Amino acid sequence: MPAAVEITNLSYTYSKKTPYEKKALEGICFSVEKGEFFGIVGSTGSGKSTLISHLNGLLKKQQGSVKINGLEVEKKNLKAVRSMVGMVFQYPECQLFEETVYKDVAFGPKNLRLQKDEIDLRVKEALNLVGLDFDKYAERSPFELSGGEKRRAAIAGVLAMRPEILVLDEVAAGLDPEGKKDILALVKRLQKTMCPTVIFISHNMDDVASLCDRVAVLNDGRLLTVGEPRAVFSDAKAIIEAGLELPTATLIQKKLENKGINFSKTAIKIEELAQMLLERRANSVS
Amino acid sequence: MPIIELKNVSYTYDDADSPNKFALEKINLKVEEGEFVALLGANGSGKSTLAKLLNGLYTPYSGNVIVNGVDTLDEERIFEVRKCAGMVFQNPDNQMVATIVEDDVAFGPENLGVPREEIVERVNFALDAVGMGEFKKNSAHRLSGGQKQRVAIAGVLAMRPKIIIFDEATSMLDPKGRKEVLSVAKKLNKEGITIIHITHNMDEVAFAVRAVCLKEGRIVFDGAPRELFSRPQTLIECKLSPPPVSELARLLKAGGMNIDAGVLDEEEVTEAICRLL
Repeated sequence: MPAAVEITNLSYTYSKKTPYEKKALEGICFSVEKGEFFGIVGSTGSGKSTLISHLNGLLKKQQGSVKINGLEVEKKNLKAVRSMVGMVFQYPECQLFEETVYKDVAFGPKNLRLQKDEIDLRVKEALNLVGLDFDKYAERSPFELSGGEKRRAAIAGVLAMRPEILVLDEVAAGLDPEGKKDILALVKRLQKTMCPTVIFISHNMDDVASLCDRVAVLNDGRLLTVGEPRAVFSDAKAIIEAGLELPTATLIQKKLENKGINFSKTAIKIEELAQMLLERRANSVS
Repeated sequence: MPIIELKNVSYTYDDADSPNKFALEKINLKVEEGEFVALLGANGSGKSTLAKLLNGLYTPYSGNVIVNGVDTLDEERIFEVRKCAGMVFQNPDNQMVATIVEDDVAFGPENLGVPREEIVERVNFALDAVGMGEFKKNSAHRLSGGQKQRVAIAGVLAMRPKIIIFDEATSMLDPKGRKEVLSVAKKLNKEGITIIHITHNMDEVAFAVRAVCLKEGRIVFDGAPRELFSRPQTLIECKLSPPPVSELARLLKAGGMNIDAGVLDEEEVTEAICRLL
């Protein structure tokens, strides 16, 4: 079975042959398997957005290969690729534009020239998935909704296309703690129901550590490393050099190590670190 | 005399004749000159409404807001209030009015009719204060989010304010931009400017000396961040999440370790753990 996403030797340069020429990606290679919750991290300007814009052909490839379920992302496959990859950009609520929530969510399926019944079905399904009650919200203007609701309505618009691969760029940014919790729970639910493969871009390393199966680290357009969060964050020096932060648990653990308290395993979640410390204390008391 | 005083302030977005829901209700709050106050609350708690009352963008439905001795209801003196209390908003891209950094910063004093030489002086001072001096001739739209917010702060500083209100000014920034803005806020506070920092990010509360929590338009906590963090119940009630460090302290305490639940940051929690192991 082909990988959900397979990227080989991908390079991209903005404004080629002008004074503003800037290399954004260089020789990127990695794959995302079907069913993975895959993180992409990197400081601002490291190439994350350029990279994900290749996944559904928003940027035209200059060099290398990008395959979605074995299908090369190129002009003749764009329609198929775009129906497989759902992109949720940063602050997706800024892209709401229709008069009603229904029309906004129906925009994609309508462009697929689906029958009215099928469109109805998809809008209901999508709103249901994001937890917005159809009867209550369908006829409301998307601009009257609260911040968290707007974001969910915008995500519903992507889900109405029934993507297998969901790409989320900073999906929790700017939300209050409760809104954030809701949206992350929604993402996990979506992975179980509709979109088995999730690509998750975030600056919040605590979220990455607790959600992702694997994570790719970009630095200055290059792939620094890819692996399980624990392995990736174990190399604290590399993470810091890439301009990123460590998960809070890992950071505290490093500080403890600097004071001579050593650990056999890197902690990436607060609960883990608490557990390790409590065990250690129990052992030293007994 | 406090630099900000709210006396029994209520505010509603409803029709003033028949309000049924108040965004803020009977708020009493005093802020002394030079304080660094974190104003916290979930979406819809009223924190941004409160911010907009502080420089007269909104005026109270009932009660009074006194800023530097001036009542914001006094229309003739509203410009004194706005000059005294500057605001930095959430979205870095919405605050630029000029294409070149120094022109953007000059916009405020130009409108005050400040003489040219003094404008130059104020702009240079303001940009240096936020560490953006070398960018003054740059084009504003090519800056990073954190840099744009620092230029926005400079624009406020050029008005020589006594108070700066950060209305979720860090929420759209990456961790680096966030740090840049917070360290500028801290520096300005040291130089005597009163800071009101509105946020729902608990990691940023440790910067403040005082935390005020709003819930459904009312103040439910007013005290030191340390005290707030040691009261997870209050945070939960306000629909806020404790920061990861206090979560760790709580788990250790629950597991029988005698740790202060009010630890503020990674340093403090590390110290505390070292003492106990």
